[in-house]
Amino acid sequence: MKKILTMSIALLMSVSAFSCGKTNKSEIEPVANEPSSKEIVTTESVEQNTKEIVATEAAEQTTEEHLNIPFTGISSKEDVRELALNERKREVDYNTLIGKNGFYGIFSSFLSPQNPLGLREGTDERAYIVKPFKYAVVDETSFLTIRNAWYFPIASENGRYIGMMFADCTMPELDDIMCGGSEEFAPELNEALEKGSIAIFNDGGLNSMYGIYEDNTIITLSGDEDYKGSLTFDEVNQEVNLITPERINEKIEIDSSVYDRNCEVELIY
Amino acid sequence: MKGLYKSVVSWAASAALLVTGITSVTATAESKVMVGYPVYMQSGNNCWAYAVLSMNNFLTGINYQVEYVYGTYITVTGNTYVNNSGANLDECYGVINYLLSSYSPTKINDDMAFSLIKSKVNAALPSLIGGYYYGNPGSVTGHAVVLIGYSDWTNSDGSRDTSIYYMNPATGAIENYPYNTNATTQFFKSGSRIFNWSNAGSVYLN
Repeated sequence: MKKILTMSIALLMSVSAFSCGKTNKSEIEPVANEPSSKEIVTTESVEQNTKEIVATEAAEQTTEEHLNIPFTGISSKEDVRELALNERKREVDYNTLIGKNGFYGIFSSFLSPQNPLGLREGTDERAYIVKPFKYAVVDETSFLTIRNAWYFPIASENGRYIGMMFADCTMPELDDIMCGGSEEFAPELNEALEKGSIAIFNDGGLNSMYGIYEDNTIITLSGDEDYKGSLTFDEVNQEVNLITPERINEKIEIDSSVYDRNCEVELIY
Repeated sequence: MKGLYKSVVSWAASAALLVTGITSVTATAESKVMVGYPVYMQSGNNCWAYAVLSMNNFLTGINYQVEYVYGTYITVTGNTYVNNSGANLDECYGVINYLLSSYSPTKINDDMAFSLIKSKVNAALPSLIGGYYYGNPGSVTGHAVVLIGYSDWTNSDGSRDTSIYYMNPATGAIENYPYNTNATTQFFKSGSRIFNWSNAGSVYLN
């Protein structure tokens, strides 16, 4: 079985390398953790197989060679948009992520009285998780896709967003999906929702996030650049990326024992 | 400007914690974060420079500007720093080794073991950690952040949730991402992307 699986992977890798025109040795080496047989069985076409493997490589490159690529922190908008278009579109029910893979450990940072994330809205020992959303990826003239990642907003008891947890659903294995936590654009979201519902979108900038109102005005939620495009609310709104002011009341049920844990963080001076 | 604001907020928050007397040393706490760590936001392709700058300023207590790091880059490499070209792990190590030589920096082409992370954070020693984000075929973006804390929460069933805290120049924020002690590959997130830490490497102080 393992041999068959290995041969299948080798074939898929060949297809991937050829169709993508790869020449970098490190990119065509098999990944360390092979895709599960379930993933291969459920893959419907060679084209899809290729995307699966590309997605696997993208998220889990394990090369023997250290690449020593310069640290820049910026990737081109075109590159980010292209990746979003070609990323793994596997549907992951957000309920399956609750409580998995260090989820509550990250959530605890929003409860900690020491505010280890430096949240501008502060922490709350009774903070809760709001129904998550995804965001749209667009260019200057058109909607492109919905990014396959969940944002779980974290809210305080007084009805303010204080931060977010983020889960990238394109990770190779379901067990690889982990939720990171930070402030993200929670304070800006609070301000934006005072004027009404917004559809969340990104234009490819790694740190850019925008909201568009029903009257087609656009608000910058994060990033240094304003959006330069001509999209309308109807084009951007895909429901899954729509945030209404009332959404903050859509609480996600979690293991209540998380509120009993010691969330103290020692501050190192 | 936003970076400056966030930095001020961060320092102010730290000051507030000091004023309120929160020293927060509890016998059972297994989560630690360096308080007052400078939070910067990069301005171009210079995450590495702000990462190094934050380490330098945190440890020296002096508020140097990013040009100080560029100048050191020139001294160390013999090359003029080309704006927006970034710097690789070797170059980051060279600059850190020059600026913080008394800390005898170590470079590894890998992530850091959780026990090593704990020992560095406990000693208030920030570590530069790199990550690779694999884009379109042939496209790899490197990113540098600074590891400033860890958490080691215990669940009601006795299992552990471990994670790292880091200052991310791309977002101008402190972020928290799980560290999987059972995995051979570690990641961190920046914005809405996941970076492979294990392939990019780390520079820690001693």
